[in-house]
Amino acid sequence: MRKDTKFKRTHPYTFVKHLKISVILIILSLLQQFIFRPQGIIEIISSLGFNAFYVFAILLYYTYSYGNYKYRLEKSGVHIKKGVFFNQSFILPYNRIQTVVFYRDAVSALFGAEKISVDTPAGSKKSYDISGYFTKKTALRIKKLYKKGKSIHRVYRSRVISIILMSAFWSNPLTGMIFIVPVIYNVSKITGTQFAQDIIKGFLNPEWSLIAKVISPASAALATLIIMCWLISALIYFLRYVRLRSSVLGEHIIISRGLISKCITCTRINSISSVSIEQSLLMRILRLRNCSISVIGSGKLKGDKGLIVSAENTEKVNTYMTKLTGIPHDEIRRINVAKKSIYSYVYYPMICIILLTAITVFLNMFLRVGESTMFLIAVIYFGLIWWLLFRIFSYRHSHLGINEKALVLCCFKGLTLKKHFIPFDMIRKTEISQMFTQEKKGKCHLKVTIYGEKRLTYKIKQLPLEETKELLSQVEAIRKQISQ
Amino acid sequence: MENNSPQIKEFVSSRGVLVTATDISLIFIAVMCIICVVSYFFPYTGITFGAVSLVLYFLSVFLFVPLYYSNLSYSADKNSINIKNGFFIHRYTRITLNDIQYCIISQGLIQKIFRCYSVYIMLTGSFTIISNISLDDANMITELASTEIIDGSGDINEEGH
Repeated sequence: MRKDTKFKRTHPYTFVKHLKISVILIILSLLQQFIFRPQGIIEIISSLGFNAFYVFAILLYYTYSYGNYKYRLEKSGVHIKKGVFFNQSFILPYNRIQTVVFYRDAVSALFGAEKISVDTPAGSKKSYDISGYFTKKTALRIKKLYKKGKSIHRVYRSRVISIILMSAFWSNPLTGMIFIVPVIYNVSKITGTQFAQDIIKGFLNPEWSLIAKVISPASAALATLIIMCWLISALIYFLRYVRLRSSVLGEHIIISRGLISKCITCTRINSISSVSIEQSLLMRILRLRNCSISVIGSGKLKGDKGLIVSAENTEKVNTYMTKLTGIPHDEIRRINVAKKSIYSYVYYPMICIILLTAITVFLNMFLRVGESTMFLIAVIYFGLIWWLLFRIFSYRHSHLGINEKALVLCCFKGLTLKKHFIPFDMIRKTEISQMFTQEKKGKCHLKVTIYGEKRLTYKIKQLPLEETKELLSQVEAIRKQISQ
Repeated sequence: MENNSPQIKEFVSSRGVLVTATDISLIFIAVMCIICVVSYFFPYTGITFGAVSLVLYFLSVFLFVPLYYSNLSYSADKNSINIKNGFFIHRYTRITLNDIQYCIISQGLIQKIFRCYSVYIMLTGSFTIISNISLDDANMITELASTEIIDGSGDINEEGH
């Protein structure tokens, strides 16, 4: 590793990037000059007002901040000096670095700048330890350091269709929005007709006919807005994740993605806190799964989900996961959720369905319920039954397992079923909890906390107690062997 | 500092009282300015708040701050850094060197006047601050964590060279 002798500054684009926060006030100050056209120095100063002082202070602060931020690549780490009011100096050791992210968008590429973010397990879960814009030469130098003496093995390359599917059905709430559109259309149609009929029959004042006219176009506008939002969101995800490639370089995983803005993430394989294979409700219908990793530094960049494989069938996802992370996908031992525990999984949706049924009966018996209200109730029923079916599906597939390298937890979160592979040395804490109703039946809940900046926990409900304790003691024995 | 591994040492932030007293004084001046403005419109309220602020200021600077720093001490050995602090409840914190990711040496504007430094000891998911110590002590802590020394000029000297 070549040692630098002098401290260097980051790319000047850092200064430009900071200014985006203050651009509105800067423009406002300039506009004031054009609109009011002051004559004389005193008039100019008084017309600028407080904005000028703020802009001057901001410019001064960011200039000083950019000038004070220096770095030097040492033999053992990166030496950073920064700060305006509080001068800070530290050396970030290379052996503590777990994730390095290289990010370049269209604008920074024009200026010849590339954002490099370095993360360690220390400190904040929201920001990187070092983050700034550096020259392309520096970025290339660091990339060459990674590649030195090693060959890159390309394991996974995404298909465009899989990225389109993933972008379209990224999350359940997002996809749910598109299903709201026909609901809005139907409700507006029914309500508009209902209004018109009520006016004709004399139940409503004729002056309300204006509202009947406005309902349909307003609903159409709302539906169009929702579809536009969904399309824009899907497009952004597509541009972020298209050309997703996952490779292995020595002891690192390299994940590159993006079309207009390119992002390359380099992370140590042995620092992966967990590997998750997930499936949302709609992806279940298409028999597709995603695979993502949870590691120090993942999830801090906007839109980053630590994805390594996207929208592939189960067999391919398992194969790629094993090739990239070295964790086997099979299980030596498996404990399913205790029998006759389905009530614990379905009581939430069941209570909602019962409540809704009671409200519907009450409304029909004592109040005049319109067609639009009944239609809305039918839609809510559909949603609740969908939820209930998912919970039954989760009950059947939730389990705890173990293989040679990891603890396996298959559990649900929201409307997504996730299978987590947690390397033994990344388990921070396991917690068995038992309610008084579970004590007699020999069941328990299990919560596993994994190593990382944030307190990431996974929970499985209603496991058999004795088998769970036995499996966890097996895990503990393996962890002791590893630590020795 | 010796070329061998750092010696076990106990150190106290002796200038911490001065730095903290200066910080409190600056805050007090700002508060009094606001109270003066308030007094122009509401004289009795201003006088009351002013008197209370004055009493709190004198109590802080001459009683609470010296008491706090009299209970504060640090010690370091080959395996850990120990911090003893607390006002009503005494706390003993032990940080093993293996848990330390890296250390940040920081100096604010007031600390520059009194030649004090703060050390942020970065741990997994959190950090601990040792405030208002000398540069030698800050360097010693950093060296314990990373086996390198930062001297006042900012140059890096590897241990033994």
